[in-house]
Amino acid sequence: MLGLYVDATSGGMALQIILSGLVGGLVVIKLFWHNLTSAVFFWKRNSPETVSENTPATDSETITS
Amino acid sequence: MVTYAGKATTDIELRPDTGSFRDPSGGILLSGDRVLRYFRPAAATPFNQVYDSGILDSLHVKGSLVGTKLLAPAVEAGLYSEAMETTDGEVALLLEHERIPFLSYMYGWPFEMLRDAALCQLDVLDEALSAGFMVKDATPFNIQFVGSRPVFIDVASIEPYEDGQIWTGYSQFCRTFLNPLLLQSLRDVPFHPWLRHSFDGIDPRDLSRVLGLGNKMRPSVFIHVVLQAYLNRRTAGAQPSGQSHRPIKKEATQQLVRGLRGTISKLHRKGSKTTWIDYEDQLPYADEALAAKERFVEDSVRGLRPSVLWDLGCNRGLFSTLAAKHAGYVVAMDFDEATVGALYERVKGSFPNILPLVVDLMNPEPDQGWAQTERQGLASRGPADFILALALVHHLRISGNVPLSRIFAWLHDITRAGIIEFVPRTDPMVQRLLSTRKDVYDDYEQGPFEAALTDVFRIEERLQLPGSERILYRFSAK
Repeated sequence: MLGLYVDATSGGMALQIILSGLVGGLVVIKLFWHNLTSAVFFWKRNSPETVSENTPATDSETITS
Repeated sequence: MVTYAGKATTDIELRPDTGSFRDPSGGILLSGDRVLRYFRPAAATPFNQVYDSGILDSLHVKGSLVGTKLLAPAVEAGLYSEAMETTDGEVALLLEHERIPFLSYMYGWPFEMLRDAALCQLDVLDEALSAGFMVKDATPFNIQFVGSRPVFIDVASIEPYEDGQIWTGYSQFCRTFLNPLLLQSLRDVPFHPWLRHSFDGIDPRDLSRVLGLGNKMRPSVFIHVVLQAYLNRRTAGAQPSGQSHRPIKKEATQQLVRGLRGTISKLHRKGSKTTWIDYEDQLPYADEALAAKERFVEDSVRGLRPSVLWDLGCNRGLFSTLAAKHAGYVVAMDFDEATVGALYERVKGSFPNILPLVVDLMNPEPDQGWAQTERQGLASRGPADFILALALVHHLRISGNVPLSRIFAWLHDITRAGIIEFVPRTDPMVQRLLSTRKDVYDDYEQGPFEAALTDVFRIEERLQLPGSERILYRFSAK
């Protein structure tokens, strides 16, 4: 008869709290990743090597002006 | 507002629906063909918020909500007065719902119907959350099919959303929608016997025991079944802390709902090949006989235009679709679950008045639930105005060992008229049945068949199919 006293939804409730934490965590990770990739991309775009290798001189002038 | 062609209030004798007593916010009252929902005073204010928001309109326009209209006390004073009397003065609001032509339950749906019902439930919840509401329950009993279209019927379970609240129906959704679908999709085990016995569905612990390691490692199965089963075990012995749970962001609940939607929409039945699914492609009689049979059925139904027709042993619905042109509503029943699933996919969107159902006539759904009045059995949902019993009786008599007199007595209980087919023992299909059992069916001959039929019915018309010994009888109650 113990089963009658156990709330069958308690695990579901705990799971939703975990999942919501994961969703929050994923958002943080996503933001971190986005920031990281943006920073790397920005750095790569602005590094002199990248500019001289991949962009015409006129663009280089535009960037540095 | 959500409207439909309601009827004028002429008969206001109300009776409480025997399946509607659990919800503290109100219940269902029936009056003839009218279906009314009442709200108790404490539930009226929250429901007014739901009603005034327009979400019911929006869901109805999309086809996911049953037709619903608010009855004004000034216009329906007699009805309100009668409802107050029936409920001991507990009525603050009355709604009227579009009547569902034939109630069906999850254990009568093939896999595809339960899947579409689950998607309907999730879509209603997702839209409710977006509009600032929550759907507190998540049981297939809150979904009904109008033909092949699932509709949400329990407007009382839509409530204003409170910041940080949990989806209390999540576990119920998993047990009654997701787990049965996973069981059939991953293991090819039909969920129907399980759900017929257990209205609470399949516990994640039970499903977890049935699944193999490979299935358990699927992300959705791991989260919703394995992890939930583990957490249920872990939290089962815990003392209640008395504290409320950590707030959950609405976006997280919507992510969960959409994730479940994605998982369920990708589920398919594992096996689909059965003995009966190709039956219509290899009928045991010639085209000429088939054409005559189709004409006989269509002419009969066209002439009588029954409101509700039951096609017993419908297979993939060859005759159900013919009948649906002239009958108000066709309930197409067959015991072969995969075949009914194929019928559902066939009629979905093209025959709005055909309801496919899995029914084993040797053991149809009984009255069950609380006090055996909560969920109606097959016979309690009748009688039909007309039935089709084509190529059926030899199965009941020979495979089922049911005496002819009992078969016709039962038909007399469930219908007023119909068409029945006599398949003689020389027919290859009867020969196939007899080949694996001792022939103790001396009464299975045309004479005794007609005698048993005319004991309870009157034969209106008969037709021997050309090039065949099969005979069709159109009959009506004496």
